[in-house]
Amino acid sequence: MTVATTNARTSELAALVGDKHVAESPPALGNVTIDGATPAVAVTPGLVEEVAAILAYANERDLVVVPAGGFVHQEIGRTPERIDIVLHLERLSAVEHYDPGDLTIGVGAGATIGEIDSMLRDQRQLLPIDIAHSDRATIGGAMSVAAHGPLKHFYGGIREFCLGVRYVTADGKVAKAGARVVKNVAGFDVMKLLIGSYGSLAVITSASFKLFPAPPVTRTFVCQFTTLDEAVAFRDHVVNSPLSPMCLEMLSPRAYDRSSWTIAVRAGGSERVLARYASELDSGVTKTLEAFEEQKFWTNVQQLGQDSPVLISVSVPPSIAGKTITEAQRLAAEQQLNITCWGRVAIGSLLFAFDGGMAESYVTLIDALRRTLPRDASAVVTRCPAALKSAIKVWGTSPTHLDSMIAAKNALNPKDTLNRGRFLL
Amino acid sequence: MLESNYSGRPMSIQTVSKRLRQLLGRDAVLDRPEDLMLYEYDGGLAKGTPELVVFPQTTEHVVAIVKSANEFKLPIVPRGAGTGLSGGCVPRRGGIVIAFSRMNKILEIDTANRRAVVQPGVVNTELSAALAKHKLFFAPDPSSGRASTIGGNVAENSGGPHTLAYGVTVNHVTGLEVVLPSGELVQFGGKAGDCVGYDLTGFFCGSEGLIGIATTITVKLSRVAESVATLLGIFNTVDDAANTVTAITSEGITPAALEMLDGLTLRTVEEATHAGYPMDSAAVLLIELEGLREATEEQAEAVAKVCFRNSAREVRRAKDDAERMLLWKGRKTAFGALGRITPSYYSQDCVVPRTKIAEVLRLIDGVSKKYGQRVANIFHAGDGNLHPAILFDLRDPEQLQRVLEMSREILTHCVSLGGTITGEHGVGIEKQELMSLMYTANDMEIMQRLRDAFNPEGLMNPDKLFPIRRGCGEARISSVRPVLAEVTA
Repeated sequence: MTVATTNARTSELAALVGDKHVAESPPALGNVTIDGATPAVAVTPGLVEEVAAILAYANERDLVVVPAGGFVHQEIGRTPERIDIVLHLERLSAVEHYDPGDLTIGVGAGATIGEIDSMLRDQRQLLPIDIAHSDRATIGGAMSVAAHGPLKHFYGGIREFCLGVRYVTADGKVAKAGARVVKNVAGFDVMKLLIGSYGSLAVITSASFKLFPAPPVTRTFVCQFTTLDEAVAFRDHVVNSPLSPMCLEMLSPRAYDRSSWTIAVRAGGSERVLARYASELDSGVTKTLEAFEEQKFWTNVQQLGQDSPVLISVSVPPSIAGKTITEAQRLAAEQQLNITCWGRVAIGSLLFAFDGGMAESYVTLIDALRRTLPRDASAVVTRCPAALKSAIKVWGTSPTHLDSMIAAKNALNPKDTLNRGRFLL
Repeated sequence: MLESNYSGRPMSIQTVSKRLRQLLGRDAVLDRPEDLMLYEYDGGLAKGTPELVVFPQTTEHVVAIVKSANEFKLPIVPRGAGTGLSGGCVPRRGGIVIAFSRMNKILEIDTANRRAVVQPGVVNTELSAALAKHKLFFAPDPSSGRASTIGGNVAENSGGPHTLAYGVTVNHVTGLEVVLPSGELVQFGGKAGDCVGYDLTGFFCGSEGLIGIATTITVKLSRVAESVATLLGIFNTVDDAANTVTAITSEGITPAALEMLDGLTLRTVEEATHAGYPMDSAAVLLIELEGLREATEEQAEAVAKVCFRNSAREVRRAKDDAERMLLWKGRKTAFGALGRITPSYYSQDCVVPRTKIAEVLRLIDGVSKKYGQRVANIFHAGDGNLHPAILFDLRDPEQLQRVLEMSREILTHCVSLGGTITGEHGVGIEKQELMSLMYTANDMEIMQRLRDAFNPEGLMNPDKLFPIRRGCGEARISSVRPVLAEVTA
């Protein structure tokens, strides 16, 4: 790309969004390199119509656009072929509707999870997206990667509580799907397609969610065991008990106290209800955390794996979660890698962080780990050194029919304008 | 429309009929007019005559049927139990109705993973019965559950009274085996809670048979709660009852179900079922709490207090299962009971934000008076999902016209309050021309692009969900059928 065309492009984009919302060189461009690929231009639209104009412009000219929120999850995916335009959504952050009585909220894609949390906290309500870097992570970003934390155990992932979405297709069509009420079956559920599509279908500009009452008091029962098998048996005990905790998180020794396998059970409710939890969990409980200590514990869980060079997000049928962890440990030992694992063990949603090895050992491990999994499981390498990305399959395989996914993609992002080359397809 | 007369039927139908008889067995294909008539309608108003009705027993049968239909460009309409209310399984362009009543096996109950794998024709209550001994259940509970099928639940993304706490069908489906409109057999998702790639499982739920046919469904199972408390709050005004709904959720309590019946309904229901509903009150709330014993006890007390704070006249609590079942019987048979006071009714399915329930009920009352047609309100108040049933006489075309106008007025208002035209019944034929109340041309164009990506020839459940822009009104009236008993919500 020549400087002349870049400059021409910059001025054409400036005509769409205004001079001060286009940047073409550092430092104005900011630190937005993805696996070594640096965007030619950054634009920060303030209106949905501007997003549409930018996408129509890019789509016509075969430019590649990367939509961006807080740059919390951009490391996920294959190395971008190229990035012509990075599309910042930060200015689309307005609250579209929030009446606490309705227990629903609508917000712009650029709103951060932290901003929403603090607004909801005053009303004792909850949007259960408990992830790291909530001060930067945006709603649009969280939806794109189907982000989740320990609260997924009870509340489910974003797909379960997203009610509606406004979005712009890759060819610049402004559209919406769903609604802002808690029940709606009018039209196709486009939300489901966009959540977890890693920005490969359309640009989300705002979304509506169902909210939940925040329990007045919560408590975390830390239950520790010598072996993984004991911890898995305890998980089964809790799952088959009458309890319905908010979180049921497993932590391997390296994830918590370095010596035991931990099951952390977080419960909300009155003193009587919490006392019942204590009695049902009984001798399993080694520590009970409240208030600040409890908050700190869960913040630490969210931060796990942040410093590890390789992070794998695994989804398996819950009954094989224990076996999958055992296999991962065995394979890590074979490759002389350190492994930390944790996750929502009762729903089969696990995370593995590895460190201490050479590139070849990671490649071998990732391949071997996938071979232990059933067809309907997934193992996505959500972080690894850029150099490793060419040697592994970042996404692995999906049980879902590939051509059907391609058909959906061609309907919304026909020219591969969005995040070209980065997603599974 | 293709000729559907028995003697004058086109060669293609005869050929397909013969071929499918050979493959599926003689009794698995219906083509006599008197048999086809039974498959002309669902629980709603629309009607259309199929040219063939076929009963596959296996996925391979379904593949063969779809491929044969494609060969002769015949429309295909999948059908569960026909309890839908929006015309989703009505063969408006003739063609082949694939009825799933013989694909009704529960293939697997996997207690360790809390999953069941079922064929689409499994009936909701049959699945519940099979799960009872494991203390598990499949959460979606449409009031038609005694007849409705899991395949139908998936197609329409069905709800029910307990969706307030448990969510709708899409929240309980993790995997599908699908026969695409091309006849290709494919897999979406599986037993794992989620998987990499687009969530086509989620997208498929509620796609009303336009994307393909689910032949195997993997569903999540939930554990039966330790304790249930069922309360009946009795109110002298509808406003007080409506305000109580928001007050309960503002208290931080999410009931498993929170249903409302207005005065007209509860008097009718009481005469039919003797559920113990007070004959002289303006509205009742049926409130169910589930969970740990300690939690339900506390919440039951808190809910009673909230009811009294909002001027409840009385709050009753079911003492045992028998009393609980009786209270629910009143709710679940409410639409049927309306048959005692009206020759026909037309039940709507709008949703508004919870805080607007009182306002919408006042509007409905105003509309009812303006048009001179009585309205009975029975609905999922906790979700803001209203089912105003407009009482009328179907034999009177003027009344029907009024009813359709009333519906449109009510729905338009609901949408203006941020609501939707359908919370759980689907769009189908009934509401396709109303889609534009909610969605712009662009919104629908993108949805149609997605439909075309899977169903390019439009043979799979044709002319549904999206507006077909013809002179509305007349066509609908002429296709109305005169029986509306046992319609559910």
